[in-house]
Amino acid sequence: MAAITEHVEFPSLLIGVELLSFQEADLPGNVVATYSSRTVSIIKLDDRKTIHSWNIRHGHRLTSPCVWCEETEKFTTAINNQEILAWPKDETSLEKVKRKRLKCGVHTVFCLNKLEPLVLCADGTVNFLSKAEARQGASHVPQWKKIRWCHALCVADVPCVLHLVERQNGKLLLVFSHYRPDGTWTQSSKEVPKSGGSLLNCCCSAGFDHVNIYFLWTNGDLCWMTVSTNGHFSNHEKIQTLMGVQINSAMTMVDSSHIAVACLEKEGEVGIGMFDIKFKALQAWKQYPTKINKKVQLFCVCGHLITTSHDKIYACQYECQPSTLASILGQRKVFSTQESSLVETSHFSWHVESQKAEEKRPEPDMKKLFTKLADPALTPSYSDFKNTLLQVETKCIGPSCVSSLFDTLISHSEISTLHVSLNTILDVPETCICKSLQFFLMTTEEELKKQIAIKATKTSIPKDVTKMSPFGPTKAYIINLIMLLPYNDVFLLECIKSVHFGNILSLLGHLCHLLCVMTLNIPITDKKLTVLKVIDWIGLVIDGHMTQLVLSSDARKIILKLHQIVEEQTALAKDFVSLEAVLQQLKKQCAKIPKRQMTGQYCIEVLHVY
Amino acid sequence: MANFRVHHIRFFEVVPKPINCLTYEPHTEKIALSRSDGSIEIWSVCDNWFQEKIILAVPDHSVEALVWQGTQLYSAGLTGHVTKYSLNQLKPEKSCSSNAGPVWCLVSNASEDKLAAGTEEGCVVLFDTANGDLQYYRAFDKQEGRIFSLAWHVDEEIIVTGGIDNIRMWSVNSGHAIQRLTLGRQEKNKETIVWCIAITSDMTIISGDSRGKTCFWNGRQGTLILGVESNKADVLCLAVSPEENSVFTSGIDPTVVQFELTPISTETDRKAWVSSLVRTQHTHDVRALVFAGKYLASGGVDTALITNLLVKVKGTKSWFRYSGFQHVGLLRTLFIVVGKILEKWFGHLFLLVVIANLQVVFIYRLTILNVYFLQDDKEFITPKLSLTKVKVPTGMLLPAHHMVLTCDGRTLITATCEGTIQLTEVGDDLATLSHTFPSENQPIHLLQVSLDGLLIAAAYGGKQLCIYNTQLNKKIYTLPNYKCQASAMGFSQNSQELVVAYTDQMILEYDMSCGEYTDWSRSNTKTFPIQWQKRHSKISHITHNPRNNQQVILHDEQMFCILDKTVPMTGKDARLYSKSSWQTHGDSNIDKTPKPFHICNKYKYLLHLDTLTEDWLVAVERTPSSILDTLPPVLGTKKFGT
Repeated sequence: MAAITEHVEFPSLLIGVELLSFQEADLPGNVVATYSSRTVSIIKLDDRKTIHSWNIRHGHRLTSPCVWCEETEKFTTAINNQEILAWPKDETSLEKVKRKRLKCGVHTVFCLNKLEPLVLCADGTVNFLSKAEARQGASHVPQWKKIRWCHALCVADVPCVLHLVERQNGKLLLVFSHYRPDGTWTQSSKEVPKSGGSLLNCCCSAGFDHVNIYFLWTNGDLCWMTVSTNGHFSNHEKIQTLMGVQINSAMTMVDSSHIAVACLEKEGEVGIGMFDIKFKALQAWKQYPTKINKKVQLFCVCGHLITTSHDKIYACQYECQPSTLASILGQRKVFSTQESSLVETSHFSWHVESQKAEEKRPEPDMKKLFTKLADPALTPSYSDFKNTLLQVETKCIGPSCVSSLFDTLISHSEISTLHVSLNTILDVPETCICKSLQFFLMTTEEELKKQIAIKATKTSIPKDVTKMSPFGPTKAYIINLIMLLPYNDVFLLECIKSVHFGNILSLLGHLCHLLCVMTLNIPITDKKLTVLKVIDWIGLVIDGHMTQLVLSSDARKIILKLHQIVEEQTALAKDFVSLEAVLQQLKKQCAKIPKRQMTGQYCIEVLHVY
Repeated sequence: MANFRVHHIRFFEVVPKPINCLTYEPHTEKIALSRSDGSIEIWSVCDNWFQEKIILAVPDHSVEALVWQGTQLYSAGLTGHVTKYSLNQLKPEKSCSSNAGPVWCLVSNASEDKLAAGTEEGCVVLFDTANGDLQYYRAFDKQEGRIFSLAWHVDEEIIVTGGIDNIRMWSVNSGHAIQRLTLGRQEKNKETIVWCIAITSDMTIISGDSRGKTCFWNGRQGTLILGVESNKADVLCLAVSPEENSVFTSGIDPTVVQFELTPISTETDRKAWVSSLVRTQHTHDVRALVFAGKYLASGGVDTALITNLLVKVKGTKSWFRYSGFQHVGLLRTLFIVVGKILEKWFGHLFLLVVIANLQVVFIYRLTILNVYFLQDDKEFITPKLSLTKVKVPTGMLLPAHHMVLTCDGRTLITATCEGTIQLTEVGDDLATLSHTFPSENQPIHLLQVSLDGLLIAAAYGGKQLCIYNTQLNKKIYTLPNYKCQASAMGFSQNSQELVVAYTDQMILEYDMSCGEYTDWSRSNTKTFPIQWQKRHSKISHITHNPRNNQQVILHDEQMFCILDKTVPMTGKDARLYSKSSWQTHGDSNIDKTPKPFHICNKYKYLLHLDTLTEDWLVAVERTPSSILDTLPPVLGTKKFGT
């Protein structure tokens, strides 16, 4: 879930000048605002008041966002793309502050946690501020028009800098610089293909060993690229198309799975929206107090989203919870994509790669396939039928078609194909499980024997025990097979109510027999069927038909028998509980006895002292 | 913090010896302790139970009894002699025969001018020790059977002895037995041996015997007041409190049982002995018990000295176990690199130093110094070693008890029994005495030389620390006195600082350019964490990290610690390790915040830890279980059934 509070407007005295950035300041709740004219201010977000401000000399211009560096405890910025200025927070005038001049030119100064400031030079090189001097002589004319966007972040404790440059021919090149343990910086780059329209904005987030970069295009396309820490780029993929993106929109990263987009139009109004990029859903939207037509900038700082245009600055607080399926359910339809209708109808896909794979499934041919299977006229020869069946066996059935398949097979009493389907299809819906159960319970042993050939089992079930079973071996096998299918008990409970009560009684008899056999410690045909599974099914069957079981006199006998077995098991379990307590004590006592250390007389070892 | 490569050595199979006797001197607050090999240790109680001196064992010289007379220490043993020791020279000073066979027990009179010894031949022999002398005085009448235990009444007229099946009371004036108390037998043919005996000022005799019984006798009437089967096997030792209202007994059954003299009822003043507390702290036979001020000290076959605080203070641990390793300088001197091989060649060695570059070997055997050059045939896997003797002029060197070598291995520095420090230069074929620093009239218990060989630090028994310059051949500083004794010293890599650890866990650093405390010392000594100060194991060795001179590596038996001087102390309440698990704080999720103390408790007991080159360490460990394996079996007790 995510939420955005009402917008609050900043006082007018700050407005009217070109704002470079809002960054976190030395204290929580404070932000440092950089105005390109010549002012750096510290603003308290709670009351939007300026606490402190510094001005540089007339004629100079601030060209990089001012950042607070915890390591050096100084504010750092760049002037006229040439000089770097760093000063402590108690400094009153910037006139006397020592400046560092870099010949190669300064584009942006960054600050990463517990590291000294990083400098992105105008020629695209990156280095720490203290080492940047060494690069003075290496200045060269850049091969591009301008740096469109840049950002610094740490990935697995490795400082990385990304910047996007626009070449002379208008093409975009993404450059990734990362720091190596030997003290050097390595760069790798990849051209960013145009998606549609022109690029509006970029943002990025750090993954475990890679960086996710998101591109927002003017046509609303949100695209995605990753770059690993060894400089390997993934392809430029489209995630979705955001509706309402305008020519003046801006985007920023909120957390690893949320982005915020400013100037987003929705139902004729303009506001700020927050998207879940994992589930591709708009999670929150808040209208601006007044309509904004000009180009805006969006900053996410200190739990606030700050939108700036030439005459207005709005700040709003946001709340953003981790992205989970539960929180997203029911929200996705709020904002649908324009083009990806195919994706919309299928289930959620977590990765673009897997999404593509799903799209390739031959679903349109499914109906023909089922018709072929069900209608003998369409498969005149056995080989035709076999070929068709093979397609089912190759698991090329999409989840949405499984219900239709089972319905068709049951309606045509296709026992053999149904058996194959149960064996091959992984996610059989609960309705299909119950329908199959109903179908097989109503089918006689003889009919099943004809179409399903099971291997002779090597069980050692005594004959008197086998006699007690209400089903023949084939029927028992197929019922057990159904019970082994994965299910959700909430859905299955609903579906099992539809099974006929007579069948429920025979199923209960079979379950009772299984429980009896299993507690006698006799292996049954399928080893995977555990006592717990049988108990779950008994519970489900009883829950589903509680009223009828109470009312029906036919159920008495089986209920009493079941109770007797369970009672015996409860007594046994009680004994186990007491035995467990004794063993637990024994284990505790054993743990007290120190283990004899088997150590050699001499070794060389590596010792880490923390 | 730091990574090291460690030579982890467990082949140094030193076996601590069982404790035989304990005796306490209340004025100097020192305990003398003898072990089964005949060595004697002096522990300073006021210095937090610091093992400050060791008198080496003399072969075939057992110590069965130890007695203080003022600051004079006497022992008696199976050689039949009573021996007086010089605690400055750390060697026997005078000896006198009992003329009645081996001596089993020895006591002093209250005025501390006589000694009484109980002998194998059944004689009580008196020795005159007035004016620091030791002379045979006279013997009492001979009795049948040996005398195992002895006690002298505070009035000095009565001596009680414990023997086989009986207790006798003797008149000191006449030398005749005046009373005989007979003990019963548990089995008809099994003699009852009175292993220990004591007499209080009101003539109550307390005895412990082989039946496991502690008996209280009325000495005036010769009647038994109380006989309690306090232990499951022989009662070997007992201790009576100075107030004579509390008695502790123990023996082969290692349970220590307390008896207290308590009023029978609130209406009368009559008092009776009743057993009260029981302590089971030893694993094997307890052979000696002694009151030491507010402590009860006990020792036995499990080699550990255990101290119990008798008046419990809330929030403090009431008992401590001190391992049986003899830590004072010389005995822990390196046996490491070729120790085993040399042991085969020379048998029992008393003092051995092997320098790191394996070139020169110094061996001190009794009072003779031998110097050898060590050569090997350069075979990598199985080198054959040979020794070439260097000539040492006789009579040149005084007997020594501490030796250290300079880094080049060519200068030997010895702390002599006379209290002087001698420098011996080793040439290619001759060792010559180059200088002798005069004595400070106190014994030296710690000796250290700087890496450049220019400075020598010596810690004296009187808590004095002196610095000598080997180039100027004179004492240059007497460092500021501290209230406790130094337990370890170490020069920094550049020889500019001397770090000293004291027995109260204080660590001080002295500047060698002016002989005063360094700035680090001045600013940090008052803010040492309480958890550090509460430790009872003493720092036994100090060195510096060769890669970082600001890191001091200290170790004791339980742990080693890297003290980072660049990080200020984090306050008195800072947690260094979790008490319950003895783990450094937050071992699972490592706390990376800077802290001055970095503790590693991987090794126990850590006998020696030193730095080699770069990141190499050498750690000598003797695990508690390996010591336990060498001990004799314990008294069998039924754990289950009837």
